[in-house]
Amino acid sequence: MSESTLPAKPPEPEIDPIISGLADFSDRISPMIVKELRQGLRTRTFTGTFLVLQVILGFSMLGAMMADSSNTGQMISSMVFFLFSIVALILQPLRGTAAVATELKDDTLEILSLTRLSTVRIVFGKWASLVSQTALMLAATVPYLVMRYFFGGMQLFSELALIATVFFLSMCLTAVTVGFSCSRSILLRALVPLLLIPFGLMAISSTVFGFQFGLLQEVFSFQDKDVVITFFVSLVLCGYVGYYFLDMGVGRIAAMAENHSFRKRLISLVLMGVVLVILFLNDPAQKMSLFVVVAFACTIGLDVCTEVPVCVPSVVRPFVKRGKFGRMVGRLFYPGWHSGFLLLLILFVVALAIGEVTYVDSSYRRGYTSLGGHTSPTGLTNELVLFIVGMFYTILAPLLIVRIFIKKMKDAFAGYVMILVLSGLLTLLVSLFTGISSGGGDGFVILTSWIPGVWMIFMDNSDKEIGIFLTSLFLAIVSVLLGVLAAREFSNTARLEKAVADDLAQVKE
Amino acid sequence: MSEPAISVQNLYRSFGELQAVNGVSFDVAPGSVCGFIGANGAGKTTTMRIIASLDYPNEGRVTICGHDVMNKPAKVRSLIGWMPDHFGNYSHVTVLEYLDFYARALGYRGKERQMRVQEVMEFADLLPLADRFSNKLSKGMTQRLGLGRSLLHDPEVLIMDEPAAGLDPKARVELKHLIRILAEEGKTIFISSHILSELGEMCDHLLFMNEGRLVHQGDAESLRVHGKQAGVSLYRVHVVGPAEELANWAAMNPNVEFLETLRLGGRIEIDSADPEKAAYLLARMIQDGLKISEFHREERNLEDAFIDLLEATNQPVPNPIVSPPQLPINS
Repeated sequence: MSESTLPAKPPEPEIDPIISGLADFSDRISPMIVKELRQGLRTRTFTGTFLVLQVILGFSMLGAMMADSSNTGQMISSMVFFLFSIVALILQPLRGTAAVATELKDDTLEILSLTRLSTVRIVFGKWASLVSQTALMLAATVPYLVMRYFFGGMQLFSELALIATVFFLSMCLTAVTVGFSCSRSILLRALVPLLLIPFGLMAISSTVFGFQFGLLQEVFSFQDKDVVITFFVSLVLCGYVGYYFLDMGVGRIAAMAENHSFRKRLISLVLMGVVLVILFLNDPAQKMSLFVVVAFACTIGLDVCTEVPVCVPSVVRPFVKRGKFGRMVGRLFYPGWHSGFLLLLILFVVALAIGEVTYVDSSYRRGYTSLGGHTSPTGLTNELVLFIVGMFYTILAPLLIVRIFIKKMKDAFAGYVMILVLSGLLTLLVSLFTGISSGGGDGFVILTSWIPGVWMIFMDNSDKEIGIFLTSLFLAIVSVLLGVLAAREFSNTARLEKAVADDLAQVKE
Repeated sequence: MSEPAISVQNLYRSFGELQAVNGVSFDVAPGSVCGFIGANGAGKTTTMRIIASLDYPNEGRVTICGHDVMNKPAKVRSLIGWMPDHFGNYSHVTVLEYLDFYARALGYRGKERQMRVQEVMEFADLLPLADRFSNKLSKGMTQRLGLGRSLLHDPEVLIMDEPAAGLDPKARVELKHLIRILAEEGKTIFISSHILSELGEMCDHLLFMNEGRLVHQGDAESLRVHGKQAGVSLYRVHVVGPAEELANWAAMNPNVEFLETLRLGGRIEIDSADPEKAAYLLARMIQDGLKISEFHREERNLEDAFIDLLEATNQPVPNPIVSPPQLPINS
């Protein structure tokens, strides 16, 4: 009887066989990656590329097997690297340009924002899905590399390191294009294939089929410590640029109430610090420090110069809570070009200081430490000063143009990049003119020295002092004007900070 | 009294010079169906987006089941289902995968996720479409998919911005049927449209918005009797012979106004709601020699009532207030 009194367990509802098929991807994988993979693996771009790659590699292998040459192994290597590089460094990154843009176009991001997916998971998920597809392509080329081993003459470690590097560069390039895809500007996104296809093809062809393939293999044997450090610092920089572009994309599509600038800028500064410490500890590679700072400044500059100053309590509150120190830190980390401008000025000073310190001639330094005698450092050369001043002028001048002439433009990033591109083209024209003119070229360069980029022409000139003077003058003018504009933005921020501080005080009471 | 499902207090939102929402306040009771009516550009979508935590107000407070939208957006998002007027679907993703993606994004795992997807697909009749690509659906199917998606996390409040816009009559009937079922289940539904009569049929409460302001709230009947037209009644009169006879007769009777000519007669307005007055006038018409073949009272339609209301409150009359195509009876 007792058995019959037990409550009957309710039958589990049956799941339709159609729906039970939804277990194809684990719950542990991010929803965005699952969705993107389902979409991406079905696109003609992926299936077409995959099949064409297999067919070409198959035929190449057959051809190589039939050819009676002592160089067959090298030929197969070149072919595999050439094809994989085109796929990984051109085609896959190009797919990234549509990643977030399609969501923007179809108004699906807003619906996504109501779920538990953050903008970081959305953008990084899209990137991870594209990288996974590149990994599938890589896996498909591995059998050909294994077969190539039997043709002899293979430097296994070098070739594996090379293919891993290509894959890593593909990850970085894809990150950059996915970051670009967060812009609503079609013109800006069209710029990516225009630059990537010709330059990418040229670089890959010359590397693989030119003399540099053998050289690359030598580099990847990692015999020279200097080369190893330079190689890894370059990889870190590439990885950083990729990360930064992705996070920049996140900031572009995130809600205004979220502060993504703090994380981006802090990570950049910490990473820069770590790289500088590593370089300082390795004497021969120290000279790279200046270029590392400038590379970080350029990447940060591209983002911060195009950020909209956001004045909402949720952004200011965490800084105000920490009192005066918090507010001071906020001056460098609030979203917006005004705080970014301050950060760039600090980086400018840092770059000059690093250049001054690291450009001590290495023989003097050794003499100083071992003998304890006095030697004066060589410090910054004119060329380096012009380089630093010129780079910062190139970063800041378009910002001033954007803030004065096109400040109502919805996508300031697109405007900023277009001004940079235009400056590049103008610089090229000036350079061509001075190249073909006889005698009058120098005057023309001086007349056009206000164009960001023209300072590079002074680098080839014997009279670099004029270049330094003019570029510094323009940089000073631009900085003062931007300072005035930034002060206005900071006064708005200060008012909000005060209101938030009053609110916090009321809550405490 | 229970806490309102949606409470909007003194809401303001401007875009540059444009004041999109201008001091709007209202409450929506839990378990009710509330219609939000206004012409394009009246401020409906902006208000709804603020309620759905997708936009922020310049001033004012919005709560969903007592939770502040600005301070607790994550909590509010778990309580609401949002169905925008337009949303794109993904290419190369089937209906089933679309819902699975959103179920994953909402935090459902394993069997629970499959169960939620199944329930929603059964409710919105999406199982036959499971393998269809989501971007290849008709507008009606897409709206059902959107409704299914917004119901995945079983929200307390469903916010629907013009869900019937662009649907054919059959799809509109299906959508109304689903909304009725949800209302019977006790969900609070906040639905906007510029098709007044459609909302009048299914809403317990109507909010009328014009140029960023709330101009009236109540049920459909309260709108019909509101304003300058309260106390008048409309009659459709068919006559044998030319309609001019009816118009001439109306001109000679001070309590009657001839409104428009119809194929077999015309519409007249009598300045009284008393049926006895109508009976008296009908007798007069026959006595005066009019050959009446049909005489019946007409309900005042919501579009007319809304325009009268705006005129009465000196508000500019929006253009266009759309009349829907005729729906089958007992939809």
